[in-house]
Amino acid sequence: MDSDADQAMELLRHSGQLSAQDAQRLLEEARGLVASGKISRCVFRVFMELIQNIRLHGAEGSASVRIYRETDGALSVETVNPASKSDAIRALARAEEAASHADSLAPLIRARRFMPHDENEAGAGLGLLEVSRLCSCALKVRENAGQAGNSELVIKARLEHKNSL
Amino acid sequence: MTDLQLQAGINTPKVSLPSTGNEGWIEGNCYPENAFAFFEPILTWLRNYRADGGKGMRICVKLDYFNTSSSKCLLDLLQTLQDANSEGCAFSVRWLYCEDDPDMRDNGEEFAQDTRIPFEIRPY
Repeated sequence: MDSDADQAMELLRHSGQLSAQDAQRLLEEARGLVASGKISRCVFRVFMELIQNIRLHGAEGSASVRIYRETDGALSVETVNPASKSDAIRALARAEEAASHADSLAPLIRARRFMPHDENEAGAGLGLLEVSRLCSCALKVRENAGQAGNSELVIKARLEHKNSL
Repeated sequence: MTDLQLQAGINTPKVSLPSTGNEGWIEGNCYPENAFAFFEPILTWLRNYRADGGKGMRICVKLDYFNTSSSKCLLDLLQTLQDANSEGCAFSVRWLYCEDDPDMRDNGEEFAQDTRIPFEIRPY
């Protein structure tokens, strides 16, 4: 986890396997945070995409997810999960693509919706692009060496105050 | 031809499409992990409806949240309606968004621009 997070106020946290039931429970909790005014719908949308990113592309093993308020007031969503080397490389490539289209993410996402669905994929390949759009490209993706030949994928999306609450 | 009725799940919307009525609904949350599997029976029903001589209807879409996979599926659904309209059906869409959720309004505007269907966007 990012050491900055240790200094900040956690609003939601999960560590361990991320089953479908865990993901559902976390999304319910996050919706509760929206209902109580602690996070915005935008933060929920980022969290939802990142949780589902782990579910669809993560490898077996313990994952860590959290929503926390940073000391400057911004809200961040951070996920750390094992991923195959190929999935980690794909996530990094997607983040680079998002960064290179920083001024045109919305039209890029709209155009991608028209592309045929790869039936080998459960997702549409749009999640990280959308997260990047929602957090105005304040998205960091990094890959660390993991266990059993896997990578450890770390994704942090930071939402400035106007988008967080 | 029977009506399509899907009960709302925790992360899937209630879907109500009548075989003979003039208004259908898709309402709730829409972020299933596999959106393509969720939408497939809806798209199949719409194709069968058209093949069965259905005249079209207004479909009210009132979603709180949807994930990116569902956004692609919603576009597929709208394109299916558009295809039906090009063959004589009269589908239209009423996109309802929570008035304090501008992202959902913007999504409706994008879908309206990306398809050629009578499209009405309203806050609630």
